[in-house]
Amino acid sequence: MSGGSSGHPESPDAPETNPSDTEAKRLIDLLSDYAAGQTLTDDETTEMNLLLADHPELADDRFERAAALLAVAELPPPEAVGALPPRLAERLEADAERFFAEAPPEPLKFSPDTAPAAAVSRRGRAAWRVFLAGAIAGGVAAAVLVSAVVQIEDPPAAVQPIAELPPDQRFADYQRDTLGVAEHPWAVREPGYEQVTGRVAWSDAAQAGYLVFEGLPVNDPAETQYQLWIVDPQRDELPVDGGVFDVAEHLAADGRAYVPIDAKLPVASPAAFAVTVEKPGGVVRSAGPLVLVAPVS
Amino acid sequence: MSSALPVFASMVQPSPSPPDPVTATGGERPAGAADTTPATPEPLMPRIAAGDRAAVSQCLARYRGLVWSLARRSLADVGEAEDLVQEVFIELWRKADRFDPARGKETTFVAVLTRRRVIDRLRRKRTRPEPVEVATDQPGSSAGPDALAEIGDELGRVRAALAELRPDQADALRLAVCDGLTHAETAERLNLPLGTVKTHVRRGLQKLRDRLDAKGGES
Repeated sequence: MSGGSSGHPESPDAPETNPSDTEAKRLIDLLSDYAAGQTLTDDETTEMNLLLADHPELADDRFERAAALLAVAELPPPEAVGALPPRLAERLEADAERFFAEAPPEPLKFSPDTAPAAAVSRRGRAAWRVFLAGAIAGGVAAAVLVSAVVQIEDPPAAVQPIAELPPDQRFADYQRDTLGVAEHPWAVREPGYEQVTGRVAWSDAAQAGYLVFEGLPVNDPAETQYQLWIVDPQRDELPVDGGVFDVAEHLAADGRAYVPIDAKLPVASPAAFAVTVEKPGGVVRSAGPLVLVAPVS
Repeated sequence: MSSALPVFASMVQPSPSPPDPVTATGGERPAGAADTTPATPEPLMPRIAAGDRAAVSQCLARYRGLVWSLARRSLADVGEAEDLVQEVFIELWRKADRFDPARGKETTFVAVLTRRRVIDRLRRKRTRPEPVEVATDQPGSSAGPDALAEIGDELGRVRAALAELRPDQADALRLAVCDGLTHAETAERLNLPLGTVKTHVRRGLQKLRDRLDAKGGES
């Protein structure tokens, strides 16, 4: 191992970043340890996630990128590593062929707004109003909240990935690779959905998340689709469209459905996540009943 | 891969002399100086996400040297390194739609994902890695020219920050980040107190991060 000194003056140990409090300093240390490849204990992992919830401004992958760039900068010369074995090159090409053969790319899917609207119950509309008022209580004027309409800039669309891992595996990847994931259980269940359990996993930093359901009735895509809405009073009084989904498409072997959140707009500080039942393709103005809510505590 | 190396020597091969002021710090090039920086290659992930089969082959050609080198640096077992390379590329293709050019360069995206998988394997093994014995004072030349061309400026900043660390700090950082040693193993290797090593690695990595951020980083 080389010394790595170029004779430059010694620099102080204090980081150039000056966190304003001990919590932030502790979080920076944990993030550094994580990025350096150290194994965090369960307690440290829990501590890191709690601190990330309080300091979302630090929830990014800059330490990981710095570590990766250092690893690249310190790569050895080719003669020390040895050439990539020809058999590996062949296997990689075969992987590429198999990858496309097993999961050919599909075009962008969009269901035009032509299907008949789902029936909207009076109870469902009432629940929607209550949800909105409760979810953003204290944040936005009540007169705006109870207007109970949902407007977004773009119609919903769904992108089909070119290859699919099992839904539970994709969720596991998300949990493993995403910093600052907070989880919020489904806390409000309308009649017919009392049996549903699960949670929302969301990272402000990554602007990505998952819905996890157990016991959510399978919808008939020809009749209705579930649609997610993200309430973010700091951004707007109108919820952000989180995408439409069909339960069957996201069911895993464990019986749960794992649905990636497809937020159409940036979310600053979500107050709640809500699921409605809508006509196929989703809507820009919610007409369906509210069936589930996960408030952000 | 190696035939093009001289062209990128100033970017990828730090010598005992101080880093090149332009490529190392991201500073302004002096007036009249010729810009010999190679063109940044076109990102491939968006095309892969769109189902472009040719982009997958280009991805292999561009990044296999980088992924292979990162794997071999930390995994002594050639077979395990080969398995990891396959695992990384399949994951790259599946997650191609997650690449966001606003958050960083594509080469960094590939390197971060590769490091994650290397670290996963090291953690699973729960044994001290046996890094390839290499001459690390001549680093950086085994990753592939296109990949390195894209991040030449960032690599220069990293090396500049590394050069400002004390030798024991730089060694601790290298052992932990590049060789995959734990803090305890690094302390044993360097004969330093564990607390000192933790501080060295943390402050060193924070210095690198700050240096990358100082001029806008990659974003």
